[in-house]
Amino acid sequence: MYDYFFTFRSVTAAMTGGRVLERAGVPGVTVRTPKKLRQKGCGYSLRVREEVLPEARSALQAAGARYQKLYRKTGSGTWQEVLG
Amino acid sequence: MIYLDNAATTLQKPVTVPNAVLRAMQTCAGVGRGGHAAAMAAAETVYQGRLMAAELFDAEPEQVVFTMNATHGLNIAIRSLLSPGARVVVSGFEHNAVTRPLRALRADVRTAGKKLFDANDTLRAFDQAIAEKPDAVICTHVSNVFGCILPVEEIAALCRVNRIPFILDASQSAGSLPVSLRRTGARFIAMPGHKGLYGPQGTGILLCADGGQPLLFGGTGSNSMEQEMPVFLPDRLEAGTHNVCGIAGLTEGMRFVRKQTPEAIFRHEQSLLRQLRRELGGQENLRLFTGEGQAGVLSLSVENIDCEEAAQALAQEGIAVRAGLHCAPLAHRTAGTADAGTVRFSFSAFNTPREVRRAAEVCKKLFPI
Repeated sequence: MYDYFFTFRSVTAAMTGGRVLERAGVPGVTVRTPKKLRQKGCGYSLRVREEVLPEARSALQAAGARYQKLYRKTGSGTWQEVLG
Repeated sequence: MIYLDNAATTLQKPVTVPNAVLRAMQTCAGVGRGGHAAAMAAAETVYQGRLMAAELFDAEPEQVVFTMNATHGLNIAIRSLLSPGARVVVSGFEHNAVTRPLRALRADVRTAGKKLFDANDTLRAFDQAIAEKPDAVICTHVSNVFGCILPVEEIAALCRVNRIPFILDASQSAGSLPVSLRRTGARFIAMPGHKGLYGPQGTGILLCADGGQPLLFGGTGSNSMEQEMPVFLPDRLEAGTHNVCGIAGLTEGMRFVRKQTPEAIFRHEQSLLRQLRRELGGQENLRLFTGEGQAGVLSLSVENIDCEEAAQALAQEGIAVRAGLHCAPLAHRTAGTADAGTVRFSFSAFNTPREVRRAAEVCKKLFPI
């Protein structure tokens, strides 16, 4: 099962996103953004499982919680940006 | 001790405040500095504070910047909006937290509104001054010396119409009067945590409509590869490790205010103000500075007695008040009390009518007609 990471510009923005998921009943956890995904250094992400990705995405978008990028961690441990 | 120096710092706090400080000290590390439980506990604690402040003051959590005090916030606001020599309009009741940063900038300061307890005169003066298109307007919500409530909603509206940036100093109003970032359209609203929000000393909040210029530069736990401060709030204005314990206490103070409601706290303080005014009203040797639109602050002077000596005599009888210029010489010049100063009584949600009665009795005993 894939893990998906919504990256945010700050811990505050990530926690705002976390509240959005909580209100929507979507399980997710606030974590440090993996080093390979940090283009500008430290940051925080919301990690969600694949089975709740559509709900997570729509809840964040509907609430205007602006994440920076969405990544998928593959089974082999590599990262793919999810576009669109 | 009967503590009536709440305009300086509220001494009596809800018990949840020190409890939260202790809990944070025992469980929280730094915000944005890690992903372990203690770092995330700190992040959650501080985020709770942002949520609470955003709710109380009609803002978004990211617009809530934690500062050391109101002075810190006002310095950020002033440095963000003004360059050396800028033209600024202020009220006649500003604190040194406003006037000293302006002096340091060599700002061209015009004072509008010089009549105590005359909101209409203040508003007319601001209207005229704003018509000259200053670079910014800065106004205190409530005079820390005299308690007069300034018509800041109307002044903010004038600023919006004329597109002049507005900075509100809510040091004496946050927690007892409505303060709204969204409704006023202010660029910045600064407030301390340790007065009407019942938080610990060394805490404050700066509400920012849209960005600002940092006074401090350093680590934020975000964009660490870049040597410029992040452009986004609150990180841009919060360099260095947060006062997590203080913020935890402040959050509980704000929770108390929200539960009591600012309106109820204001009504309580009004009742105590009216009582003290009534009980001291017959003392011909006391000059009470009082009028329409007065928050829970009452200044007075005692005939032929130095204000500091009067306050010291009260302190010896267990009544804590503040005397002198209250770090607001401009307000004293406005009221004509700069030479003598005043003795200031100020209330909180924790004061009682019995305490006020006792304070009045002591005044009458110490300063007989």
